[in-house]
Amino acid sequence: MSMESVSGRQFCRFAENMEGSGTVLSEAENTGLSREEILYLYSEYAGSVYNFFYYSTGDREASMDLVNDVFVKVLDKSPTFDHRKGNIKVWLFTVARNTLRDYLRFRRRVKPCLSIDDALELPAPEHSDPEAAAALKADIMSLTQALEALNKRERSLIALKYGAGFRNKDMARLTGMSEKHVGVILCRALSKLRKHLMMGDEIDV
Amino acid sequence: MYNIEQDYTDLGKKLESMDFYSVLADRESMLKNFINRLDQREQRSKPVERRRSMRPAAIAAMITVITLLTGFTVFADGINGLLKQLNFTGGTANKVEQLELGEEYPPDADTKILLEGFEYAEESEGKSESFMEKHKFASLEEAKDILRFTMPEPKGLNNWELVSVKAFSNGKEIYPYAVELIYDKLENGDWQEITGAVPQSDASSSVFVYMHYLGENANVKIDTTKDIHIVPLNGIEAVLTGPLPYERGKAYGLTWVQDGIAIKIFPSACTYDDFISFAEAFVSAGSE
Repeated sequence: MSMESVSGRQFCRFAENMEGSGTVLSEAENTGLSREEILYLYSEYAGSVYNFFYYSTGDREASMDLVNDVFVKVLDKSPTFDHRKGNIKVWLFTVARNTLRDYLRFRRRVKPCLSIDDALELPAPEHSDPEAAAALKADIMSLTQALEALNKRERSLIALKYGAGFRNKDMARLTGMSEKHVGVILCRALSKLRKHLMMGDEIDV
Repeated sequence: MYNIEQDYTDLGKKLESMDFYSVLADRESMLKNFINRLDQREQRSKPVERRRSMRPAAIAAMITVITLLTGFTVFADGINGLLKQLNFTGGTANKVEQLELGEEYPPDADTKILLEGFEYAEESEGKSESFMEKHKFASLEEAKDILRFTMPEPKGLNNWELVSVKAFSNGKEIYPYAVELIYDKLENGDWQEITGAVPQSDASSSVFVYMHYLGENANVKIDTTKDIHIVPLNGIEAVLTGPLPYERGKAYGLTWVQDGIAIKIFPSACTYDDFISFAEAFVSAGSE
């Protein structure tokens, strides 16, 4: 499926604003995102938002729904976006975190939804040989299980770091923690993950 | 020589390389779904048409926000028998009025209790304009001022904080209530408006505002009436307050306890079966 003529306007003014470090909508232009702009944003960030949700929930289906919820909210809220408080990505993930919080509030027991059967049904990743695909599936299963060993905060930071691709500095800004504190918790989380992955001995680290 | 830092670096690289999106997500159906939602959103752009096009899913989403522990006034005559039926107290009537969640259903140390206060505010055309002006609350006091009603204190809660404010407007369409505005408190203490729409009200409609509090150690009292019905939900007995058969506007509460949390939903506009199905989605079998 094509990206519904996302490229039709050469990524439009919004895309231009995303280039470079600014990634902002200027105040003068901030009349909200157009359809093309939100689709462009979707094409750019749906992957990292999905990865963030999957790291956070371990639920592949819910993560798909949550991604779309986030982008609809972002579209609704775009007229009020204040670039002075952060760039688009930070704002996007602020909405994502709030969406996740609402979701977890109702789904109190988070458990991985990726069973062995699910994993077997997964489509093979593009451009990979069957052996590599099988190894990747095994890695994902192991990691999904290992993530359950983390507490909420550790998991949240792992999701921001490795799902969303934030630096510790940005994560500190997002979470209100100090950068040092973020680093300490991440280190602890990695240690736990490593321990559980070693126990499973199914992921090559 | 073993190098633990190198170990973590390797694991970090491994995690960075994990692209769940390309492996697990059905990207095509996601995009289709998203485009459909964009289409629907555009269709709903006119306020009047918007409510007409509210779908059951949207109504269900509206109901979800009404999760609470009740700190409300109790109809005392009904509550003892009710709680006995539900084995909330082991049949000890004296404990009912002092029921402590922490005693009966010890939550773990991190468990917080959700309490919702409810207030009703008349809203007229002119006032709704001022409602639109502010999108964030700098403080609880500011929220009070802007919302222009007296905030109900969450009785029975310790160390509470207000975590969200949700506004519903009712119209004259088929579905009388629509979620219009949600403010959520961010971890840094700021308030953020989550939904885009602002209550659309006129002289004949109203705005309901729900506030969600997060706190500890609530004294649980169940809000009910003389008409009590027990409804099985995935093996848990829930209390349906209001008369049967279910009719819109008459049945006004479904309450159950799960994981030490009393959960209550208010129906708005859906069939009884839809209502119960919706509730079942939030109940884990055998958790009580």
